[in-house]
Amino acid sequence: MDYRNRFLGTTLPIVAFLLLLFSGGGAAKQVIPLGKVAHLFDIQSAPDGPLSLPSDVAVASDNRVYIVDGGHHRVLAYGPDGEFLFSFGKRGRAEAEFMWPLGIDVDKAGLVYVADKENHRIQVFDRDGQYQFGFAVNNKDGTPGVPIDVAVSAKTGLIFVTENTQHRILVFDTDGTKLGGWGKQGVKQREFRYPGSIIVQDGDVYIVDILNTTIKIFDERGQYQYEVGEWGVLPGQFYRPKGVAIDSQGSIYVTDSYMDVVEVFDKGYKFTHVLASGRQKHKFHAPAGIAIDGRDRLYVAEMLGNKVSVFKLR
Amino acid sequence: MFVRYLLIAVLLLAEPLLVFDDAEARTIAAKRECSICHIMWLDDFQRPNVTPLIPYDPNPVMDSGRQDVVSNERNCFSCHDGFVLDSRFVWQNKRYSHPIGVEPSDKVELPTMNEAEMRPELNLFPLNKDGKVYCGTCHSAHGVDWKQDASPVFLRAKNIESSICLNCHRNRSTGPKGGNHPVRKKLDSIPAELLDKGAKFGKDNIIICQSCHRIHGGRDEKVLVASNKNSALCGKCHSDRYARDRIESARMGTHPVNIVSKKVKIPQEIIDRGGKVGERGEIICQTCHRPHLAEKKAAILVKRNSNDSALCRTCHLKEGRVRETKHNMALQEKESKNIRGQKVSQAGVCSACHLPHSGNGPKMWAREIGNGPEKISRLCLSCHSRGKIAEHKQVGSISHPLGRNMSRLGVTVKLPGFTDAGLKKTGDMKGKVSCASCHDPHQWDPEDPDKSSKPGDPGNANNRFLRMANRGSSALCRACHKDKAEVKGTKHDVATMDVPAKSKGGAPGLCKTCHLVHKGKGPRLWAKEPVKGVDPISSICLSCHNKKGLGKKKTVGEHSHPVNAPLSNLGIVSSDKGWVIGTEKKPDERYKNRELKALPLFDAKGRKTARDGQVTCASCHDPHRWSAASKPAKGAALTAEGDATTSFLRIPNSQRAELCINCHFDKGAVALSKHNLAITAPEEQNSIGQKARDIVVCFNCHVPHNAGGAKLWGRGFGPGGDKAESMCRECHQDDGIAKNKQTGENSHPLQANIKKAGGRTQLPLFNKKGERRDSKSGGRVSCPSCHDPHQWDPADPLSQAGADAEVEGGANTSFLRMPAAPDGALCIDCHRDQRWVKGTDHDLRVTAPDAKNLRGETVQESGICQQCHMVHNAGQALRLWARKLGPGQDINAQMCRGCHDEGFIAAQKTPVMKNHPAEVKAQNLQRRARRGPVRGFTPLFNEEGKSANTGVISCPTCHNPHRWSPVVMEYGAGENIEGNSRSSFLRNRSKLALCSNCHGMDALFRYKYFHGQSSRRQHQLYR
Repeated sequence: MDYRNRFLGTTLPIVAFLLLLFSGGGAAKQVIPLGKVAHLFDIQSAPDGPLSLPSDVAVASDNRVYIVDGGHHRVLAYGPDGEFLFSFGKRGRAEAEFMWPLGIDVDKAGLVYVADKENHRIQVFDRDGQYQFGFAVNNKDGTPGVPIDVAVSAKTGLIFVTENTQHRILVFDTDGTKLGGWGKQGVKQREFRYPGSIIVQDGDVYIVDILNTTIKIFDERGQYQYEVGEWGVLPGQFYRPKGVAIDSQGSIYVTDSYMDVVEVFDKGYKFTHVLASGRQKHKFHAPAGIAIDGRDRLYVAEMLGNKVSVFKLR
Repeated sequence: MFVRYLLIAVLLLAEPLLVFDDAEARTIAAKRECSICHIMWLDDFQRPNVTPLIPYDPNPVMDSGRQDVVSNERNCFSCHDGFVLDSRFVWQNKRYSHPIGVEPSDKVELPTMNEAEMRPELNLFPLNKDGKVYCGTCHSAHGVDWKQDASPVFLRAKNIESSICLNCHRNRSTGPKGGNHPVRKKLDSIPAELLDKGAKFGKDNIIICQSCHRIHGGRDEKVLVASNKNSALCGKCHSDRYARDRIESARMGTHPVNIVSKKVKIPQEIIDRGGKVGERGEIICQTCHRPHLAEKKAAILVKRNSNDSALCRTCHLKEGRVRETKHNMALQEKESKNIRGQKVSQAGVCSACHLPHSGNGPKMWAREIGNGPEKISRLCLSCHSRGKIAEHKQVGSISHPLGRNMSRLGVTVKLPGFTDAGLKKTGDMKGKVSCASCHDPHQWDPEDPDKSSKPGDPGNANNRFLRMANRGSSALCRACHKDKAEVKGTKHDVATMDVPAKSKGGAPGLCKTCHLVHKGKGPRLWAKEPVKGVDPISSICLSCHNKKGLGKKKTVGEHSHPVNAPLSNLGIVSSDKGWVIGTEKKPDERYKNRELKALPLFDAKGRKTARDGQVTCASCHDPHRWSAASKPAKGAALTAEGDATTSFLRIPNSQRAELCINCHFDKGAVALSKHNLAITAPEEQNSIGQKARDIVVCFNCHVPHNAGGAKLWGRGFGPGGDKAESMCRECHQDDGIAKNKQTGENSHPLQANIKKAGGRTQLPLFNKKGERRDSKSGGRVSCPSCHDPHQWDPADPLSQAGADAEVEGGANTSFLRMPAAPDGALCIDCHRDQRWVKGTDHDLRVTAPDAKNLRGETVQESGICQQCHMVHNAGQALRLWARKLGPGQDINAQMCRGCHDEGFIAAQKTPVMKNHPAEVKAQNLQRRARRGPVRGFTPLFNEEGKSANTGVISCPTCHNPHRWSPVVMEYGAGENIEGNSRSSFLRNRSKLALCSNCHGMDALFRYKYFHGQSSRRQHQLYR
């Protein structure tokens, strides 16, 4: 960087900032825009005890809810109104067992896909929790990958997996055959620093790029489209974005697991508000995975709250 | 405001200059990278006109105290939640993580930076602003580059094989000598379960802090990698010492854990010293062991267990008394070594015999295990055996039995039994008898447990490590053998006798006078030399009850009840289930309601055994109990003469002879018959002068001891060819009490060989002595062959119809062994060749049911045989004929014509020529055959009517009156049918017939002319 650029890029903004700071003493402080939602209920426990570090949630087309109960190395299934149905999986490395599972998705046929993180694989179950098949998540060099989340395209059936040792998005065919992927560690458009949650909506792939603090949007072929949000602690900014979901209106919901908020952007990617209950922004407890069902109910997995809280968006 | 708008305009104008290319824009500023953790460094917190989503608070107060927000655990979790890095286990079991928010205790030493940084004023591991431990105490992202293997989690110091732990916890790495669990000790193998739970081990499997402790994500207090409830974690590595119950303890030879001892209470001293117990007070590994900061040189025990076994004795107070006894190896055998090769001076008084770990089987035995029938006894015998250190104190070849189930006693006892695993069982009848049932090896004197003893000190029945004092009334023996206690004060209580045996060796005690627990001389631990030549049990009785013995006034005589005899002779099968009449699988239906009391039987070695046992003295007598019915008044039994209800009998023998008939179950009916002299001759005395009215019914004729002969005969003998007959005729003779019931001159022969009648019988035969024998062994027919003097009616043993001196018997009663009427079963049992008479014309039930014999009986009353033959008091000696004689030239013809003649019952079966010409005499060659008469033999008869070589031809020469057809052996048709040459009671068809011998071919025609219907039909040949 030459001297001119250093002046323009560093010194000038600082001077301008200081001037603005001292000149605007009488300016009104911005208010955080809030969007009130109705809290319906919390899913906090299974018959054998409370949830442990729930990290992600998925809702099937019949509104059956699947929660990754990571601390117990299993998946819990609940009915549309939060009634416990069954659980499947336990700690282990055999089929239908899990080691620290993290992400989850349900396809349009009702199959449940689980990112079985420490087992370096994706496992697929039917709607009743019966094991169907699984496939390994490996890196290009053949080393075991670490799948963070999984998403299935309703349009093509392709399976997208975020992998965070090589910071890539891996694409698999419907039977688990690896087709390819994109990304590497970095800050550019097709690069990631710890890609986290992933969803596929209407042919667009939404990826939470955690340490780049943005939601990157690609098409299913991996072509960069756009990104939502930015680094920071102000409304519309992220510090630790973790989960992403889209409602029936196309609004994008993003959880921030440090600031304990859910921020909402409109379908034009413009920040609109923070979820609120009452007159205050709703205080979550380490929110991570997030999902919205066909009834526009929002499900937020609160890892340190050890619960999934459910809201009515409209 | 103007200034502000001016500046904004300037910035807008400068915008083209501020546009960076894409690569430049994507470069992350260093400050931002810092802000990934140092969130409060973001400038937005300082801007006045914006509202951040979280407040600015660089030093918030957390659970762990006030500290920089960057080391706030929420900050850590925002990455370590699995989405960036995965430390979820820390939060999963957060309860069991290294403590934060606490001030360092005085047990840790925080190192300063003096070595690494030369800044001694700073802690290497800083505390938060409140002086408490926080995440940042150990973790920092700055200034460390320990490489992945040394510090994968931003630790402030290297962590090679738990080295970081020892920075603070230095005093826990000193090893056992310093009171700590060993570290850096190599393990042969690592339990997979520990690895699975996150335990870590150093190079070459060495133990490090993280082998047991998991700083984050532990599963128990003290950040242990796995639950240590009931020392489960200890047991993962020390599985050979982790006995989870008493059974495993006994099997593994290690101190039990996970048990709550009723006997041993963990003293407060142990707890005060850092010992722990389980949730319910269980003994656990940490009850004795303290893995860290234990007393130095205590081998991580809560208390030093030096050569006085101080730790062992802290809990095992009673057992600790062993130190003052001769079982203390320090006193007994200083140089003796345990299996670890330790002398008592090294091992300690307890560990000379018990090793808390790695012992030999039950009781953690520290010595080689000896041979023996039961596990605990083997421990004792490991010393008390030949060649061992206590060989001078052996038990001998005849000693109290070991390994017997305590349940055999039938009652709960205070003394312990031991299971096969070696576990003590008291009061539940579940264990087995062991040395330790009677002996407590840890105390010399049960009445003074603190009393000391030294090698060489004489013992007596009150000490000798017994569990109870045993002198005098033998309380120890009686603790188990409660049923034997009644011997006290009886004639068998030698202590009450004025005899030398009493004073020999002082007063040895109630039981020991007769029984020696060790080094016995015979069965039942007998204390005297047993008599040889009889069964073991009887031999010990006879050791006193002989002419020179203590019981010389009570000998049994030459003829006494048999001993060493099996019950099967009596038709009884004995088994563990009791006694059964018949066979075990098929009880005798006749006695199905009869319950027999199982009396003791004994095997060839004198051991009680139910199955196949033998009768001995002790089968009838219980030498420990004078009266089975009631206890005698004190002293009464010493002077009183016994009778059938006392005399140490197991069952009181009243007049109905309950004891006798318990075995001789088929003899009890005698009490209901005229043979019960109490009914028919109450003043009659037996051979020992007892009147019938006063004694057991059996004793009228039999006495169990000192009898006069076979059958334990208790009366005199009458005349007779054998003793059995003589016994009967003692009464059934002219001067006898049954003189009205004699057999007369013409009576069934006695002393006859059954071979002559038919060769075999199920009826009993007797030899000259009156003993029962088979025919090959000299058994011959005698009165009791047909008569059972113990039952009047063989078909109804309980019939009382015979209980009258005047009652007359018939063919179905009369003490017969089986009914003689109507089929003549009794007779036919011997006279088998005559059985074919049934159903023939000669069975008068067919042809003359109303005919009567000389006694005036019809065939229904007399039976088919006794219509023609009377067993006693017959009309003729020949064939004991029972009917009137008819006309005829010889006695045989007269017998036949007593029916087959005019005016008699078989008048229609009368030959035209009634006699063969008398002048014809013949010699019968067939009779002289070497092996007896040939088949179809046609006898001749002498003048007395008996079969002879030469003689007259009479009716029976050609006719066998007992068999209808010579061709077919079968019973008659049951109706009167016409005969022919193949039947008609002929002896044979014709081939060897006497007729044809003389008459040639004319024989048949002559026969037809003189015999049968053919002649009466006026055959044309003879018309």
